[in-house]
Order: sequence, then structure tokens, then C-alpha cells
Amino acid sequence: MRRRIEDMVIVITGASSGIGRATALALAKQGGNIVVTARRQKALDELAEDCKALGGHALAIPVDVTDESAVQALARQAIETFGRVDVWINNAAVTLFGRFEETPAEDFRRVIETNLFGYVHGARAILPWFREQGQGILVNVSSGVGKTGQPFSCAYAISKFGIIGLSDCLRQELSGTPGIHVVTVLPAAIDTPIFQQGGNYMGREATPMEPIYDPEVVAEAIIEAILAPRREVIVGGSVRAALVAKQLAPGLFDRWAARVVEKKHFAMRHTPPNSGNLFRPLPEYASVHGGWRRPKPKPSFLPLAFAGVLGLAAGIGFAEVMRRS
Amino acid sequence: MTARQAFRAHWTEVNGLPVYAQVSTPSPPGAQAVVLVHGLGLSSTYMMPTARELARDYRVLVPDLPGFGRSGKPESVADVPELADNLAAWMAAIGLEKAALLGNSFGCQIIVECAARHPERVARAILQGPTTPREERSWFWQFVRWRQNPNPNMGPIARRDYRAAGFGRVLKTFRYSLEHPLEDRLEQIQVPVLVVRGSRDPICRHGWAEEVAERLPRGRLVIIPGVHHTLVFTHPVELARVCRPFLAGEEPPASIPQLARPPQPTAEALEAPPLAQFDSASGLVRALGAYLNGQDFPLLGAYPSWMEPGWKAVGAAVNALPHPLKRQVYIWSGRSGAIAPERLGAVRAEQLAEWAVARYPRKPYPAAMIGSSNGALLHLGAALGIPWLPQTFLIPVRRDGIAPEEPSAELEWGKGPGARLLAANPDLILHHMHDPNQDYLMIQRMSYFRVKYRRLPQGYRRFLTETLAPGATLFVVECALRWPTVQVADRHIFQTGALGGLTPEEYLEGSSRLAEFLKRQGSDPARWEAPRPDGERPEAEWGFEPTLRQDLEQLARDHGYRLIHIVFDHPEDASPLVADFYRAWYRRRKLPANRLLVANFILMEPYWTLRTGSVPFWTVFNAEPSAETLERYLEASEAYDDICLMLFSHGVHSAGLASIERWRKILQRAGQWGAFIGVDEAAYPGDFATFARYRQSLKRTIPARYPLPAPLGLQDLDIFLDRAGNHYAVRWGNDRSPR
Repeated sequence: MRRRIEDMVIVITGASSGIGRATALALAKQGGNIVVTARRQKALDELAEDCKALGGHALAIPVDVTDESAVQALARQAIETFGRVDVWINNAAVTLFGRFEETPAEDFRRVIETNLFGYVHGARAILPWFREQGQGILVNVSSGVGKTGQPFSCAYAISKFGIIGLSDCLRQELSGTPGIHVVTVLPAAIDTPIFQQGGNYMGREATPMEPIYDPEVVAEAIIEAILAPRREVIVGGSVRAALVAKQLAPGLFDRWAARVVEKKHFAMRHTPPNSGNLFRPLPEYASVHGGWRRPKPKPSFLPLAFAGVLGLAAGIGFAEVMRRS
Repeated sequence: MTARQAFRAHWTEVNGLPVYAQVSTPSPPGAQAVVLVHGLGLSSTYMMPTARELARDYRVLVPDLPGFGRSGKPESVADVPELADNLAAWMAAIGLEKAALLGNSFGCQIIVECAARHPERVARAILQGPTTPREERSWFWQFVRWRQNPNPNMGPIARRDYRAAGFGRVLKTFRYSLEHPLEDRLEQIQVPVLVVRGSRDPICRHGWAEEVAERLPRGRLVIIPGVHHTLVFTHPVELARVCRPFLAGEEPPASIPQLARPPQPTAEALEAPPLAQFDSASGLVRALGAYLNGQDFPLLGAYPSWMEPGWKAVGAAVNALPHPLKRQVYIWSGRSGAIAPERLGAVRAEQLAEWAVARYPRKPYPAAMIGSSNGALLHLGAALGIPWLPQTFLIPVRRDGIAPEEPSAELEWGKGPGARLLAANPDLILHHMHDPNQDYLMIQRMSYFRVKYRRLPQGYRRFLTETLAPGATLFVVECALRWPTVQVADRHIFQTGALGGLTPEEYLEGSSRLAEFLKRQGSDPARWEAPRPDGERPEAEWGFEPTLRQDLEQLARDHGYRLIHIVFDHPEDASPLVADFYRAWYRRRKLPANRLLVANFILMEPYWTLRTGSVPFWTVFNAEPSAETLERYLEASEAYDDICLMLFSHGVHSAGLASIERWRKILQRAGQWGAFIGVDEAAYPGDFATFARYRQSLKRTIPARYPLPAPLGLQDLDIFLDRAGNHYAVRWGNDRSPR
């Protein structure tokens, strides 16, 4: 029988804004049964209302994913409400901008605690239930920078590297239970409020780098992955291009990243050092979009062109070598 | 997970008949007793998967009711109350004082009846898929529904049970089940009841399960997604999971899923509210929204900026068209955004509010404005870095067959569509506006439905409470402009004419200027007859509807906002104030402050106004009174070296239009030079292309560039107002406006 979202029970962490919120709404549109969680109760309640209005069933449970026992309780409550959990989406993430040696240690640690341990807690809470059910899908939302790295967002990037590792290890451990899938999602720059909410010690406002994609695009990709589980899902051509570029010329790529990120990832507007939403949630920004993608993006072909030029150069070099030999 | 509990057969005599039951053993010490009650014609057998799940934590007893399964068969077939009595009698016979009862399907009817007749026996109850939805109590429907319920592996069990009971007994019990009015018993049941439904259950329909849960004084509904009617047999693990916290007496989570699905507007309606592209309110929201997002305002915000060259070419082509064709372009461009009158019932007031707040970044603001549309105050909003939420929106409605000179016919036509819109939106007041002068082309094929909020929409409330901290200021923009109107129905107002070149009297009595205009357009002015007004009400486009104040005052009280009313009589009253405010600001920043940039209607550029260090002066439209306002301002204020002027083109030489010569004369008042911005002087007022031209023309015409300043604080405004005293025709007050 074809799987249908309306027959599924889905837990989403970090659902108060951005990709999590977009995914919850997209699932609600298809009648899904959703348990939404994040730190902000008010934002969650409103989201649950919106989900219901779209035709889904939603349960809002405020949880800080760094608290393992709270995450365990979340899983139990989801199970007791709907009878089972089919999909668990680890999505809650915070970020921190600044030079590696200038970001405070506690902020740095907090990013890893939330982004990486938050996912570990989610996986530890739900996998026993998945094993008992004999099936389940664990979706870990990582990021394109989890493969390529990114300067001035070091804590964030290494947490995303870690998530990819977590997914891989779990997939290996779970190879004996074909009903359980682990999906890693690698989105590009997405128009979410994370840039406004992140801790920032850069001195300049953070702004996503073009091309920016809508959170709904990621939501769509996650839903596809739920209906037909895959190992990795890349969202956004820019990630694919960056992976190719990094593969072809890693040294050049790193130098390019250093230059471009400093120029394009931060606006020329001053912002005082702050830890953003790392330690306490901000009441504003409880939205899907961050407002970065207005009115229409100009598609940036820069990374693509970069990869193209490299490819061409490699081709010519190869031909040259072949001719001489 | 512990090993499975064993069940043993247990025989008791009830009313002289042997009754068979399966009882879990050993049960955990002190465990609560749970009795499972089987469905129609069946027996304990198919309940055993659930029984085994629950036996880990509870003492579980599963009887075959007398007449069914292995139990003895009474001669007569028992109806529902008799079966309930039998169940209670059996509990008494085995010494079970009180238990939680869990039933499937018809078993739920027996449990409800039992709880009503023998409340002392029932501690709490779980009704899984209770039968039978009222409108489906017929043999035909039940046969259809029964066929729709997939029951893998149930076939042999059911057949054996039916044979044991005897088909006659099964059919007769079935008849009793259809006759049993379950809903009438529910209100008597005082114990907590959990209703469990599989989301794909064809027999226990969703609405019915909801009704059952609602009618129960302590009822609660739980849905298990993707499963069918015979949960006890097919999905015992999931059923047990939702039952356990209920049996343990835990309170449900705070926000339990509400399963009612509210009526849904169509997907189309949800995504794109039916707003006009070239209307004041939506245009102003787009302009300020763009500014607060750090962007300029190309193409009036109606299209993305990359389309600007394309639209410029299109505009130039339209300008070059022969006159009659160009009129058609205006007519159809108006109609293209209009919605069909049949769809007005699907329009939701809330969508408009959601659309507006989505234009603004969600971040903390020191203040916000709400109320009348006003281009001058929009520039004030830009200076202070605060958003403005409109009270009025224009919903353009498709309409054919009524000539502009027939306002009475228009009024009649609007009754049906208006009623539809208002019925679906109790918080809106409809101002159906019909201006045969300035809107002569637009109203050929569409009607102007302007709607005003009389209650604060949820979207606004949410936006304001999220972005304003306690102590923040909420400015209520109140334009007191009124117009003679006709009350068509409750909350439905009809307005002939609109603010611009003609006075209300000229519209109502008819005037030589209007007659001449209509004649020029090929209309017959003799047919002109405006409906008699029965009073004056807030002007459709610019006026403030005071009913909204109540909600705003309440909101301010609840959240500790400072409420400030900005009251003025005419939309342009705020223009000199805002212009001088900008001028003072530039002076403080040591900028020249001697360039006036005249914005017209929705032709404006808050971003480039600031980047070029220009003083904005907003005019409401391109008619003579606006030219006069501007002349008066120039007369009264210190001379400007440069004057730049944008001009909206609405397609016709309407009565009272200020000619291009008059505007040119105004430009000559500039100390050094005056220039039109993006205006094709020969084509005006039929310069279709101006909306694609003004932004780049502005950037080209004014070479000055200054960094975008940080927003001004509210105290800067207070200081300015204090110094100004009564100089401006704008009243600022904490109380309701003096009227």
C-alpha cells in the first residue's frame, strides 16, 4: 500500500520557525498527525492552530532538545497520543557567527549541545520505539556546510559535520532492521530567521548568501524522503555545485570560501556582540521565512560557473596530458 | 518487556447460564481490572491481542456475553439493555465490584448502556469505534460500511463466532443495535471515557466519534492514524499505548489534538488574497514593507525588480498605441486583478491582514501605525523605522454591463455580491465605491469593493503583540474625511464619487464639469442620476472607521502600549508636517535639505527619498486640489532649490485634473531647477509606462547619494511636534479625537 502522510505520526523538533515550521505546515496540508516541539510555547501553540486550520492534527509540546529526559518524555507523549511514531525529524538548530578564536567558549559549546546532542537525544529517545515497531524513519536535517565547512560559522558547521556522522553510524548499526531508515538532509542557504537569531560576534549583521531557497523547498524534499526514504537528500543546486567544486579543487575552494563568505555572508551593518537565541529563545522570529528572499532572487550562477570553469580546466589539462603521453 | 501473561478459561453461572471468560493470570499485584467487551456476533477470541498487551499492567477479563461464543445461549435474543444487565450480572457473579470497560464497535453500545444502568460497576470506559452513526442506521449502509472495512485474518474467527451464536441471533442483535439510540445515554455517564477511532474507520465515522466524545461529560477523543475499525484485533500495540495513560488516570496533554476540521477556504484563496495591484492601501504597504526590508520600490511593488526593463518596454508600447486601444489596456489591466463575484464568499478578512503583515520583517519595533492609508505618514514610518497596518483594503470585483454614468444600477448590482462577502466576514464593513470620473476606465469592467476592518484581525493582533514590547507606542492613524453615502444594508455602504478633482456635491447633483467629462467620453450625461445619500460616513478609500478603536484600546490596555491618535481632516494635511520633519532631520545631519521630492498617490520611493537626501511631500492624486496643496506648501515654506515630481496616470482627462502645464508651473517655483520624475509629459494622464519608469528616472535625475540613516527615535518626533505647536493641521492625542 502506498504510504500516505495522513496516516503517519511525525515528530518535528525546532518547529517554531524556519524549516521546521515550514515542514509542519506542509505535512499538515496533507493531513499529517504532527507533534511539534521547540522551546517557544506560544509559537508552538500558534503553529498547532495553523496546522489544524490546514487540515492536520497537531500536538504542541515545548521541549529544549538539550534536555535528554525532556526529549524522552516527548517521545513517550507522542506515542501515547497517537499510538505510534512513524517519523522523527531532528531539525532544531542554532548558529553562531564570528571568528573561531573570538567566539566565547560557552556559546560555542551551546551550539554543539543543541545541534548535535539535540539530535543524539532525539535518536536515543525514538530508536527503541522504532525497533519495537519494526519500522520508522529518522530524518536528520544537516546542512550543505556539513560537507564543505564554512568560515566564521565554525561551531555550526562542525555540528553539521557531526550530524552527518551520526546518521552514517546509525545507518550502519541499523542495517539489520530494514524497516528503519535514517535520512540526512543537506539544505543550501534557506530563507529562515536563523540568521537574525544566531549568536553573533562578527560585528556585522549576518545575511544568507545567494542563492537563497525557500524553506518550503526543504519541506517538500523532506516529505519526499519520508514517502520514499533515501540516505541523503541535497536541497539546492548550490550545495551540489559546492560539493563538486570542493572535490575538484579543495585548496582553491577553501580560499574562495574564505573570501566570499566574509564579503557576502555579512552585511555592512553593525551589530553588537550577542548570543542571540542560544541560551534563551527570542519571542520574535516565530515565522517560516526570514524575509531574506524578497522580492525575487536573482539566481546566482557563481558556484556553478566556478565548478564549470574548474571542470573545463581539468578537461583541458587531461587532454594535454593525454596528448603528450 | 516482560513475558506474555497467560490467560485461563473461567466459567461462571449468570441467570442460570454458563458464561465463559478468559482471565489473565497471574496479574500484577494490585492491578486495576479491565474488562473487554466484544462486538456484534463475535466473542472474546478476536479481543485477545489487545487483552495480551494490556495484561502486562492490568488484570484483564474477556467474557463471551451470554448467547455468544462459548457461553450458554438464552432462548430469546437479548437487546442492548439486556446485554448490559447481563454484563453487570456477570461482573457481580465473579466478584468484580468495579472495572474499566473497553469495548469495540457494538461492544461500546453495551458499555454505555451498562454505565448508564449500573454506574457503580464502571470505573472508566474506553470506546473503540463506537457504533452506529445516526444517519447510517440502516441495513443498507451498514452492509456498505462493513464491506469497506478491511479485516485481514478476521474471516475465519468471525465465521466461527457467528456459527456459534447462530445467524438468527446475530441478525436480530444487529437489528437491536440499529435501534439503540446511543447518543441519548451519553450525557448520564459521569466517569471519564476515552473514545478511540482509527482514522480510516469506515464504520465509526469521524463526525460521529466527535459527537460521542463531545456529548460525554468527561469524554475525550483520540485518533490513531491510518488504521481501521477492528483495532483491538489489528493494532493492539497502538491501542494499548493510547489506553495506558488514560487507564492510569493521567490528565491529557495540555493541547490535545483538536480534531474538528474548520471549513477550509480554497487553496487559491489561502495563497493569494484578491488585492488590487495599483491600489493605495496595498501599494503603501508594499512600499513601506520594501523600505523596512532595506529595499527600494520598483514597479510599485507589483512585480519583481528584474521585470522592470520588460515592463518599461511594454509601457512604451502601450503609450504608443492609438487612444482607444490604450483605454482598453487600462480597462483590462484593472479587470485582470479582479475576482469573480461568486468567489467573494471565499474571501476571508484574515487573509488580507496576513498578506499585509507578511510584507514586514518580524522584529521588535518601538512603535507601529494602524489605520487610514496615508502616503505622508508612510514616509514618517520610514523615518522612524516602524510598520503601518491598513484598516482599508480594495477588493476589485469583476463586473460587466453597467455604464460608469449609472451609479444607481451599480448600487443594485453590488447588493448580492456584497451580502456574500459580508456574510463570510462579520468583521468587515463594505464601502462599495463608484467614481465615474477618475475611475472611468477602471469601472468599465470591475467594481471597487473597499473593505474596512471594524475589529482588529487576528493577523494584526499577532503581529503587533510579537513585535511591540510593553511600553511601545501604537499610533492610530485617523483621517476624518467623510463623504455623503447610502446605507445599502447592515455594514454595506455605497459611495458615489471619490476624493479628487470634484466635490461630493458635484457628483450628487451633477455638475457642468462632470457632464462635460462624460460627454467627452461618449457617455450620456443626461442619464446621470446618483442615489440619494442618507448621511455622511468615513470616506471609502482614506477615511477612518472609528469602530476599530475599541479593539485597539483593549489591546493597548492588555499589553501596556501607549496609544496615540493621529487625527486630521484631509489626507494631505499630514504632508507639510512630514516634509518639514524630514527637512529638520536632514539639517541636523548637515545635509542640504533643499530638494523636494513630490510623491503622488502610490508613486513613491521611501528608500531613494532617503538615499538622495530628498524631502518627501505626498499628494493624494493628480487633481487640482492636490496641486493647490503643494502650491500652498511651497508658498509657506522656505524655498526649495530643487523640486522633483512624480505623477500618477490613470488614463483619462477626468474633470478637475491638474493639467501638465500646471504641474510644470509648480516645478518652475524651484530655486534652481525642477524636473518631472519618470513622466512622459505628452502622454499624461495616459502615461501608462510611468510606473515602470519612476524608480530609474529618480536615480538618474538626482545624483546625490547619502548613506541610509539609522531610524529616528520617537523622542525626535516628540521634540519636533513640541516645537511645531499648532502649526500643522494634525492633532496628536492620547484620548479619542475631539470630534
